[in-house]
Amino acid sequence: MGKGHIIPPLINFARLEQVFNMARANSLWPLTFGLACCAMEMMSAAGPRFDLDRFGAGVFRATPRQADLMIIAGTITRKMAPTVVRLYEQMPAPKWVIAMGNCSVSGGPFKLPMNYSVVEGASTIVPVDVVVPGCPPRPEALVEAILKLEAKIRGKRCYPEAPAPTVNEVA
Amino acid sequence: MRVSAFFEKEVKQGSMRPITTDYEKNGMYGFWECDPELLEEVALFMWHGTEYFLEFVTAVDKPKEGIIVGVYSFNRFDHAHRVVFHVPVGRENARLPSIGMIFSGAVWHERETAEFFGITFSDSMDSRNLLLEDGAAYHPLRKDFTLP
Repeated sequence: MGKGHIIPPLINFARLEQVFNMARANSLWPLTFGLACCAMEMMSAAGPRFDLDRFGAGVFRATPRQADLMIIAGTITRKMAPTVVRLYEQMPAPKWVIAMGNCSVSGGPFKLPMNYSVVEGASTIVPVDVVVPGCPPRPEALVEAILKLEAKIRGKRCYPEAPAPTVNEVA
Repeated sequence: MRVSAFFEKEVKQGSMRPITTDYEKNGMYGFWECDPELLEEVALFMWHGTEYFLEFVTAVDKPKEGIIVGVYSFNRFDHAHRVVFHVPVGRENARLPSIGMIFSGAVWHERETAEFFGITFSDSMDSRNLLLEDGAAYHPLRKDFTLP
C-alpha cells in the first residue's frame, strides 16, 4: 500500500523480535496531531471514558521522534500533505499508521469530480496499516483499530473479539 | 470627507464611476467603480481621510465581458457605512496594485485572491500561496476552471 518502505534490520533474531514485538504492541505511542474533526473522537478515545491507556496506546507524544504510531485523524489537504509525509519520515522505524475517518481512507465527502484541494486517501502518501471508516468513527472504532494493529504486530490477538452487533444496534 | 468630494476631478474625468446602490437592500452606502491606477490613492484616502477599515478583498470573474473585477469592501464601526470599490482589469495577465503597505490586513486577502483568481498583486509584501499548495498553477474560482 502506498509509497515508502521500511528498511529491514541487518540481522534477524527471530525469538528476540517476538519479545520486542510484544513490547511494541503493548506500548504504541501515538503522535499528537489531528487534521480535522476526527481528532475530537481521537481525543475522546484517549480520555477517561474510553481510555486508550488500558491498551498502552494513551501516551500521545508531541514529537515524531518518540512516537511509533501515526493516527491520521481528518482531511488531508494538498497543502498539508507534505507536512504529514515529513512527520511520517521523522518517526523512527518500526512505525505504523492508522487512517481514521472517511477523509483519510479515501477522500470521503471530498472525493468529487471537481476536487482540487484534498488528497484522496492517506494511502496515496504514506503506507497505511489499519483503516477506520466512519464520519467520524466512534472512539470504540479507534480502540478496535488499535487492537487490530496490536494483533498485527504481535501475530495474534490477545483481547476477545468484539461481539457482533445485535439487530437493535444495527437498526 | 466624502469619496465624491475628494475624487472630484477623477469623477469628472470618468476614471471613478458611481454605481447606484440600494442601502436598504444590500447595506452598501457607497458603491464605486475605479481604474486600477487609482486603487492605491483610494486606499490611502480610506486610511487617512476617514475612519474606515478594510473588510475584505476578493474578485469576481466575468468571462463573457473578458474582465475580472477586484472587489474592495470598507466599513466603519460607528455607523453601518459599507463602501465598496470595484476595480475591473483584463482577464489575461490580470494585475492589480497591492494595498498591503496601507492596510496590512489586506495581504492575506490578496494572497487568497491571487491564488484563486489568478490576479497578480504587484509590489506585494508576501506572494506565497495562502490556501493552495506551493506552486499550484491553477486558479479554481475562475469560471472556466478545469482540473489540472
